Amino acid sequence: MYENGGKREVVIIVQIFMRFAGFLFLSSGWLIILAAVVLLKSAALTGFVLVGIAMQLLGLTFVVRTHVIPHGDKPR
Amino acid sequence: MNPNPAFLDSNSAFCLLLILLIPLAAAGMALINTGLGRSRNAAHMMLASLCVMGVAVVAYFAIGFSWQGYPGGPAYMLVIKGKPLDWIASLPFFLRGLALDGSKASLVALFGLLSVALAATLPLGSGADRWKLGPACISTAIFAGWTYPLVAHWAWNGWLAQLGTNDGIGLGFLDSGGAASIQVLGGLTALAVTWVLGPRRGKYTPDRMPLAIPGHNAVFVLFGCFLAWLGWIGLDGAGAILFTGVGAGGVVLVAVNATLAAVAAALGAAAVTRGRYGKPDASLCANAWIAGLVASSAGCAFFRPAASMIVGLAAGALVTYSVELLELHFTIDDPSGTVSVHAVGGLWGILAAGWFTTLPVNGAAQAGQWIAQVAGVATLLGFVLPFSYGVHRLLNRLQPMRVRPEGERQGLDLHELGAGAYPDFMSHNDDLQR
Repeated sequence: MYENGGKREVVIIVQIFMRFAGFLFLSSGWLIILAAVVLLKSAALTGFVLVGIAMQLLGLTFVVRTHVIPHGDKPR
Repeated sequence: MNPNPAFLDSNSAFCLLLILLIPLAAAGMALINTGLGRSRNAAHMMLASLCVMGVAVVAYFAIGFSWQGYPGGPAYMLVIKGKPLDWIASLPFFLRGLALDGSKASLVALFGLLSVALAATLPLGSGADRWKLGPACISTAIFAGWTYPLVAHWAWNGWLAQLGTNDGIGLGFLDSGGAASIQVLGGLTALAVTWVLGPRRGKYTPDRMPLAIPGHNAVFVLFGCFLAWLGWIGLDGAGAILFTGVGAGGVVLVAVNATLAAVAAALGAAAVTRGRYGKPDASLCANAWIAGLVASSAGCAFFRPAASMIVGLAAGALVTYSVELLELHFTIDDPSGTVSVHAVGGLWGILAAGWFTTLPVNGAAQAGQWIAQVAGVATLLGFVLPFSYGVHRLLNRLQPMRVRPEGERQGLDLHELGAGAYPDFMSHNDDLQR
């Protein structure tokens, strides 16, 4: 009983951390792209834009993943 | 001030006529949201639509337009490496000093006033059957007073729109009909709302299987599509005139593109659902119809008609899979499909505008157009989604957004309004015993 409760707490803490990281990645990816389009030209610009996109995709994956209802959770 | 406001030039008069069609799109969305919800929440949804439209219009009138501004209007600039970054307009609150006489600035204000009402109805569909009226209105005030004006400023006259002139990236961000500032903005806000509210009671079993909760009136939904069609032609046409410099004649192409995209999307969805489930699915076809309109919005003034059909067809097919993916695998309970239709469809349309448009610029600039569109998508995902999610989390802390369980069981009509939409068909046990 105690162990299950402890495991659940850890899962919740990891989820909160992942969610926070996900939103941070989304915003960071945007700022990378914003800085690139304002400051850079041609080849470097394309590279930074692609990095920004990758970062946002990672962030979106984290955020979506942390909102999925876990199996066995009591429905509302 | 126009010395004789009774006589507008022909472009402005035609633009005004198109702007006046926009409320039909809002009415269509309200009907679709109502039809896809449960019958015990129908009156609540229609009233909530009216209320959020009212709140949105007042908030936009009070402060929103002063931050959105109009092309060529006063704005605050950040200067980076000698380049101006136009990030927010600087007009007085309450439309003070704006002559409402048919000038371009006044048409942009009217366009914003009506399109913010349309955008405000979008998140309601995702929160259907469980979002209380008061918190929905508070959320809308922030949406219409801050988020919408800021994104609309960036997309139509701010730094995103000026990527072409300031940084030589294509023509700058292309969004003639508001795919970003109306549709994706509404769709991503809807996503934040569904995450904060959680799924409806009984939607998922303990082993995470979604149960079907069908909409209560397919006729509302399909009639809403017809209204939305007219409204979208007005929205796209007026947007093209105001923000991309298209003349009144160019609206023919805009209307052809919007129509082709909608029909291709609906027919595509009918074929896909017929192939997958044996019969065409009415609600998915309706969702696809709207997704086609949404997807064509960004590039409607620049697509060739055949390209518009391809964009619409892809949007229709995309929506049928997206609705299933979000519901089944991501446990996002979105009764009206707003996230799939407006966020996914809109993002696809914005990207497609970078690939499928034929622009009046040289080859290098044309090749750079996709970067301008990606910058717009990144802005929506990197600014709108985190901001909207944070705001709704905070609002939910201050005042719970979700109705109490007994209210959800009883239905929001009786719980929040005290009367149902269909009193003749009341089937609650209490009433039968009287």
